[in-house]
Amino acid sequence: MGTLALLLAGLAAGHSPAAPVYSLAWSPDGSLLAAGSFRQVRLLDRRAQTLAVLEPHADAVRAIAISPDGKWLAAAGGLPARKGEVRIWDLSTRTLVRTITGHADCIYAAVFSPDNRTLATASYDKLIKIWDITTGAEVRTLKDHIDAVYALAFTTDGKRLISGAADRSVKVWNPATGERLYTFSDATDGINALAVDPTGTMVAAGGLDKSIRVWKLGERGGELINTLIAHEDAILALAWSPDGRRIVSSSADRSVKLFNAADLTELQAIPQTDWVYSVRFSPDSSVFAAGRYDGTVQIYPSK
Amino acid sequence: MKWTCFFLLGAYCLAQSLTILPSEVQLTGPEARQQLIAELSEGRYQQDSTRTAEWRTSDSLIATVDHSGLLRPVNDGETTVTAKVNGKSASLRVVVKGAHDPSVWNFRNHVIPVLTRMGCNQGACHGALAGKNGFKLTLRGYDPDADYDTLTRQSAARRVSVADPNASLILQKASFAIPHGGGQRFKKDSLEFRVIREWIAAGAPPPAAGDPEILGLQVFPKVAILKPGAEQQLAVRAKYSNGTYADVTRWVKFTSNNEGVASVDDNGLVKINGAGEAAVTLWYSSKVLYARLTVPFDNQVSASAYDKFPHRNYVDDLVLAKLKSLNIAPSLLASDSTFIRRAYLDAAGILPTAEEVENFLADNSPDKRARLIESLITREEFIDYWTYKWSDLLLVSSRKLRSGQVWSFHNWIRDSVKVNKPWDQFARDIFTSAGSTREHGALNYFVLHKDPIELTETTTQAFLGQRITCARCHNHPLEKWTQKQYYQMANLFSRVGVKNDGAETIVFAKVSGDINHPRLLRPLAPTPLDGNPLALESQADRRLAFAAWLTDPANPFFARTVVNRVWANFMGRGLVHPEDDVRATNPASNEELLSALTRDFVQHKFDVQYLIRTIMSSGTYQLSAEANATNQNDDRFYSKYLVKRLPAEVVLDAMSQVTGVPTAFPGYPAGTRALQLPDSQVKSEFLTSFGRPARNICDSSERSSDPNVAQALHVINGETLNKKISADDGYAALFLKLGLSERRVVEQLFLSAYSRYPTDQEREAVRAALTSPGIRRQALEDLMWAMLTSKEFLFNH
Repeated sequence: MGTLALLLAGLAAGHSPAAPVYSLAWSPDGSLLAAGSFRQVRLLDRRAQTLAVLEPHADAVRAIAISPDGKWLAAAGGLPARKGEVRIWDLSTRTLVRTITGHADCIYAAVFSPDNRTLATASYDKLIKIWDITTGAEVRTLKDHIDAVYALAFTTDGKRLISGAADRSVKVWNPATGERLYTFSDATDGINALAVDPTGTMVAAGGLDKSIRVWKLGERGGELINTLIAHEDAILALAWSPDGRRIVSSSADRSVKLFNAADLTELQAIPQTDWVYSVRFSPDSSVFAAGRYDGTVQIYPSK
Repeated sequence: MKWTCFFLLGAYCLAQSLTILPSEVQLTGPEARQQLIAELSEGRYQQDSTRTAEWRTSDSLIATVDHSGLLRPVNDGETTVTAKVNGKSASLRVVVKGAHDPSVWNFRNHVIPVLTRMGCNQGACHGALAGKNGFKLTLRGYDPDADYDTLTRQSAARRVSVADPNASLILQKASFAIPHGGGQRFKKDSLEFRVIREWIAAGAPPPAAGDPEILGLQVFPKVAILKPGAEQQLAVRAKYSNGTYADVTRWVKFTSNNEGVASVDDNGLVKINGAGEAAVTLWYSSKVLYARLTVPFDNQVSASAYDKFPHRNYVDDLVLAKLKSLNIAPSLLASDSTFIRRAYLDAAGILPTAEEVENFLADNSPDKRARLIESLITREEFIDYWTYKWSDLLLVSSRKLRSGQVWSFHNWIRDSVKVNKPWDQFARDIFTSAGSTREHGALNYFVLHKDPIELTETTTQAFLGQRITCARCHNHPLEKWTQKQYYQMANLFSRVGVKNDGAETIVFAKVSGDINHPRLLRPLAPTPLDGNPLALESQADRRLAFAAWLTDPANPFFARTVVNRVWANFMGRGLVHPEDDVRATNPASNEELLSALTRDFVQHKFDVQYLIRTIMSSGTYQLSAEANATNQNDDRFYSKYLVKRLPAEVVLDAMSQVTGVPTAFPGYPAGTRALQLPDSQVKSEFLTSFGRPARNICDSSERSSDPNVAQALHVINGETLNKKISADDGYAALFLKLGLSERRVVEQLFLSAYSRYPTDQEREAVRAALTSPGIRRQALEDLMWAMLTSKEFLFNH
């Protein structure tokens, strides 16, 4: 199964029992891993030492994003069925810069645009919103999904924003105009997770139909190029390694699996003691982190 | 004088007695509770005095009881609870154990029942196939493991917050602290709120293999005789595998099967609305039970009304007991004319001939009805009728069978009826044979039903009266059958091989093959419903084990189902209604009678003819259909014969018989009666419009006796009847050719169509027309038409 690099237990010390790890993000230089938990974000170094705790937040931190320039950390969540909340933290000073409140329900996904200027959020309220980082103002709302939006991804050139929702669809948007360009409707059940390849030409999605699908992104349409029934239960999280070679998935079947990205060949299946809500490759693609419901984070070599 | 008063008082002031239910109570754990019922009996009536009783405990440091009879633990020990009503008192010893043990609500045994009782997981809400607003629970909690993940983990644990239990969406929404499409399901200060909150606060522990398993339910009172307007609180207790009991009254789903008699609210409080009998069914965690509430009618029935009841066998004892309990007077004995027509139609699907009627009416011997029954049972038409009936049951038709297969299946059924094959042997023939379907006609059952799903559903319906189709996808929402039991049962039929060998079809037992449980994704040990499992790895023919279980005299469904079907054939309505729905929550209208008939049938080695004889010989079967002042509305206690329309095939055959003109069925020899057809696909618009079943699915409702316009058109101006009446070789023409007197012609007609002589008034009404030269033939045809389209003809009465 490979060597365990780190095991961080009891992330949410002070809460009894341990609160789940809902979200993870690496800093661009790979020196820091941020883990979102109940009302807090914990910043860890590569030796699993807690460097800082960013708090408070309204509720569970269900999504974390770190801006490509390494300057900002966005911790998103909010109160289920009531409101969405994003807190923007300055990573260098570890201070709260601003709180953005929007959405009618909590936020499940947050991604920075590659130019570091905007943040996109997706919520159970079926909406996607784009925010100006510097002012906290809402730039626009993308409205086309008819059920909760669970996943978001920008392509590396920033020209496409991709969303995945419980309505079974994956939608491709022009974030600059808010135009929905096209929709992938191949999935047979709700989408939970998305991952974009480093070239920005392919997107992978997974969800309740237990399958990973990979589409090639075109200008006005795309093409399904790979499908695999990857798990025995819903797929919860996906990540595409920055070197483009691997895809990692986690599932409600209580396993994490590593695939060869080119053909979805399964390379490794790692049984888990509980649900893994988030999987994230380190920037150098050497390891990936998995954040679990039981409050632990585990780091695995990515082969 | 004094003595007289005393006597009168004794007669009119019936003694009262008070009982506390349940009769023993042990409270285990700090959350234990028990709703006690104070039942006051006076004469044959009960009166629920729970709310008016004065409740006390001998030691309130052990347990307390409130004014509504709710008992709760305080400390370990023993105490006595006393109820006082009208100067009467009753007491109950109560044992309290573990009153200070730590208490953790259990997901399977507490959280799921709360969600179920509050309606969260019902079909219209989150139990819908697609869920509601992204939140999907399994229907009525049939899959606790899946529900556990959904509640605690799905959508990034949005519904349950272990870190901040009160903030959990499941509590916020259900208590309506925030908007909820389903409204408020429980209040913040309710036990339901507390169960879920405390379960979350305890870390939301998952369902575990070692959780106490629910074994069954008890209801208090199980039976009661009540007065109109009365109320009765029911208390329900669950028994668990660890030996404990728990009062689950507040989480049970209650349903009344007869709202006109009794309605029941969500808390198990029954209100009596009218006279009759109602069963209040209880569903809790896939366990079911019912309480039977009897409300006698407000009739003055003299003892002589019961004395006149023609007592012939035990059927009459049990029917009479039921009628007495309800203050219903039975109708009088039916006339000989009525009886002979009824018996012929019910037992053999034919009318007696004019000659047979005349002979029977002229016979003065006291045992003539018994002899008539015996003679009917030996007739060829009796064999035809029951062959047809069982062919309906087994769906014999050319829809899926080739002509040769239809005939071999039909012939096997006919041969079985002819030799009066015991019902268990009949069923065993199907499930234990192997080889060519031509040689073993019974094997065509496996040609009709090829996959384990079809075999499971048809077999349970045909031979066990259980509708388990719901459990194919989820636990039965109103019944005891679980999805697991369904696939255990289905796996009994997963190794039936059918192959074609030239012109022959061969049925054989395979040594491998299983059907997977769709959620568990693995095969389960083949197990008959509530039976013992077979080893999954055994290579023995699984059908043999099934057949042994099916026909075991101890099987609670097998004999009961066929007894009910045969009873319904004669009595117009099954003791359990519909006749093929003998599920646990559909009680018989006279359980003692159905049990006795079933017992008797099993003791007589599943002898169907014996059963038929028992029913037909009973005074109950021989009652008139004419109602008296007390039984006009009775359609289920058999105080009179229930009028029923003749089955489609019987109507057609009877028309042929009275007119002397058979119906021609293409491909069948001239003179073949509708009841002799082996195949329901034989084209006949007449039969179709009169409700002939298509034999597509095993369901008694496939045969219809409902009226429709097509029927009216068929009898008013349809060719079928009019051609028979006007045929030159028919009886109308023949009577005139033979030169029978007008009086004799009318008699012949009435005897053959109605099994009775015409009345003077009827004779007079037709005399003039039938004696007028020139219009005699026309008049006779008109008379025939009028008679054959009359209710007296089309109905059995």
